Amino acid sequence: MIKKHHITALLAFAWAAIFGVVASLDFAAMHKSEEIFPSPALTKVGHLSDYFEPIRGSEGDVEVYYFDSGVPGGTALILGGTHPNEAASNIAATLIAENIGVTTGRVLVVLRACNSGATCTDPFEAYPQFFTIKNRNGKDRKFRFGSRVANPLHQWPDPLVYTHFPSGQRLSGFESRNLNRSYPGRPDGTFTEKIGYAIMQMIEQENIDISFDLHEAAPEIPIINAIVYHEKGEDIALNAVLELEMMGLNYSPELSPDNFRGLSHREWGDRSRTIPFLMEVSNPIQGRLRGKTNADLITKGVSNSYKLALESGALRIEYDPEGEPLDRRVARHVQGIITLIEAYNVDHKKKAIRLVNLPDYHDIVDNGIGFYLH
Amino acid sequence: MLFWIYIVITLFITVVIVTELFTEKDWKKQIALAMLLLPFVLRVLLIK
Repeated sequence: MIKKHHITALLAFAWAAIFGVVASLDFAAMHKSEEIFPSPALTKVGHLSDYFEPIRGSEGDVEVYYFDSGVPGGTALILGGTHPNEAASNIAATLIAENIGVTTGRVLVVLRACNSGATCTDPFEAYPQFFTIKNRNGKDRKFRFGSRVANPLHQWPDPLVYTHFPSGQRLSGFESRNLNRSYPGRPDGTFTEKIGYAIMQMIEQENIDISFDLHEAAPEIPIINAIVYHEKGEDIALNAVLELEMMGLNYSPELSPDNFRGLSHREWGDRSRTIPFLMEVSNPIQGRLRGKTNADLITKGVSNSYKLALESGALRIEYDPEGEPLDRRVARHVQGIITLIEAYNVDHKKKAIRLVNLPDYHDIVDNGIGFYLH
Repeated sequence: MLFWIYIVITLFITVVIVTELFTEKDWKKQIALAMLLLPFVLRVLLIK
């Protein structure tokens, strides 16, 4: 016989199920990849799993876009989406993939290096799941705003202390899912270490000469609006920074510390022939003082809290009182890549990489990123 | 391997909560239990 408390239990269950189903549909939507419209220069679409078969079909396996000029030269890798809560990284890579032309050498573009992280958001941060950018035809392009680290559905539980392989460096357990603490990775490691390993394999097998890992950071982080370089890329970095200064753009050159392991600018450079660069721009939504957290903060980058902090003079932060719009953050990344490759070409004439059709900083700031998205 | 051990632990907790939900007589506590159930079910189903 059904008792009264069984009926109320079923009602409570059904009530919770409604929330569960609605939430599930929201969560499931983040597993759908964005549509991309590569430029006519595209010659091949491959996958990260082409370099490490065991990740094939997993949420860590992502497309690699190849733009090969057919003219002998060097090879560049542009890696977006290492941290999927750093929107300018993925958008800059997308803008490049949709506009690039290559006249010498070839360029490989990965839009979402940590695709797993793009399938969830960081807990307790109230981050929006999506943001939109109007393309040149006025149509909304929807992009995911993900987590700094891989989804716990793909790697769980976190250890209390993460011990980096092979250095033994110890970090908080959360960092075990951080792709940019997991290089060089290992084939029998965690989900994130396998992705790091696959990226290292790609760099080695494709003989990548110069590589870029695109990032954003909170305005209060000391390494901001910076180009982090491996010591073997010092001349290129400093020449590029000088060139960028002449254009009125300030980039701080930062030498990769040799005792901070697991990061792209250290491990890629130490363990392969590539010359790696990591670039950072200021992104208010990642900061502790950001205030109201919504999609507008991602795209417009206007935070009254950061404006107050700046005006107080009590903090050393990189924040423009008018905001840090996505247009400008992406423009800095694209211009940084163009200028670094030009600086690289000076001393690598036989391995040169020549790009065309990419908008420069001023084009992107003046016209908006949407103008360059299809 | 540890991943699946944690999933089994989560499944066990899910079963305990469902059992409590149907033995509890206070409807307010039943609602609280039903809400508590959500994150466990979503993790067992690999949704969140």
